[in-house]
Amino acid sequence: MKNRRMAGFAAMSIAAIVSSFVWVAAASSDQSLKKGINDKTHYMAYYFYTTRRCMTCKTIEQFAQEAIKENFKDDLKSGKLQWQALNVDMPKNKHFIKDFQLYTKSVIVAEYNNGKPVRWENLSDVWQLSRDKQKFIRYVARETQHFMEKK
Amino acid sequence: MAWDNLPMISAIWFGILTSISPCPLATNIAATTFIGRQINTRFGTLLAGVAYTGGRALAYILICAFIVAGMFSIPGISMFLQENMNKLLGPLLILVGLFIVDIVPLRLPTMGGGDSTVIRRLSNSGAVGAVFLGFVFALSFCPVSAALFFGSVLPLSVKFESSIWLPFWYGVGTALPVVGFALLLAFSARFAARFIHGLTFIERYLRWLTAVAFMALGIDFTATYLIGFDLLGVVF
Repeated sequence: MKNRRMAGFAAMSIAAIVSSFVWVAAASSDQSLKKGINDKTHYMAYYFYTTRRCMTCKTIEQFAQEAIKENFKDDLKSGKLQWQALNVDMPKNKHFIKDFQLYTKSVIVAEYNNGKPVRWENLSDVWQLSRDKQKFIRYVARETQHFMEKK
Repeated sequence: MAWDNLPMISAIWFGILTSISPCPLATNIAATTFIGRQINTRFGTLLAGVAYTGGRALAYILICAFIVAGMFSIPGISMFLQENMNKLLGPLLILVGLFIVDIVPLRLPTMGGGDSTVIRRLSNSGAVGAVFLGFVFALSFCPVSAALFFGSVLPLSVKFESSIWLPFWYGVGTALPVVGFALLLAFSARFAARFIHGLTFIERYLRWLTAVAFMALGIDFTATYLIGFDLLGVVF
């Protein structure tokens, strides 16, 4: 009887230890993500578009997203870098036109500190490279990397 | 010496890149047929082509001048033209189509009266219409032309302090493929005229072809940009 109780207690202890490890791991990953977004420096890679889409614009969005997702897996996972495609025709996004001096559909990388953009760069060559996927992806990956390394 | 010409070559290249991208395809077709149909005089197509190029270049020079003078912000003017000019273009193309086949007669002002006035002669040669067309089409920015003009040509103009010549060369670049195809069309038409019914028949045929092209594009632009219904299901 006593042995059975002991075995039950041991099993519950092991389960509690395992679940607490799982909880701590999940919480720390969640915390690092939140920390990346809100508390300290993090980076955004944006594609800004309007309601009316054109063929080249869709290609640029697809290539840019691929460049970011393929080349910055760790940064995306940790929250250091985030990808977002936003419609600037929507009232809540209109401020981005002024914030980033947008004059057409654009790929922008921006550094945020405490939730505010502190510097940004327009990857304007995407329009000249939209016919060459490999060059396009290399350009976006290289410029984003340089931007994130600059201080 | 070659390096001195680099900004000019870049501006022309940006213009060509703009012109061969899918988004100005519709207006390029309209312009090609308009210029290419001027076959009733020996250098009619060439004159209309030069006038069309001049109209485009003028539009880019003016925008550049206004921006450099601080009268417009780049995002402001770019977004305004992209949003509004294409709305205006639909009804305008339909109207021009109706003018071309004289369904709606076009009354031009005369200076001194009679058919010998400069305006009348220029009008008959298609030059006045071509300047107007080039000017309006250049202002109808699409995403690619906005990206290349505001993002590449304007910074070059500022860097090299050339707010007239670089926009001018960009305008030339945007018109080059159109004028090239128009000359080809005119040459083919003149060649065909030797075998079928002569020049008058071909000229009349081209006039109707141009009018139909303008009206079809006008209907598509009106449906797409004014009504919000993509008639062809494709936005270039």
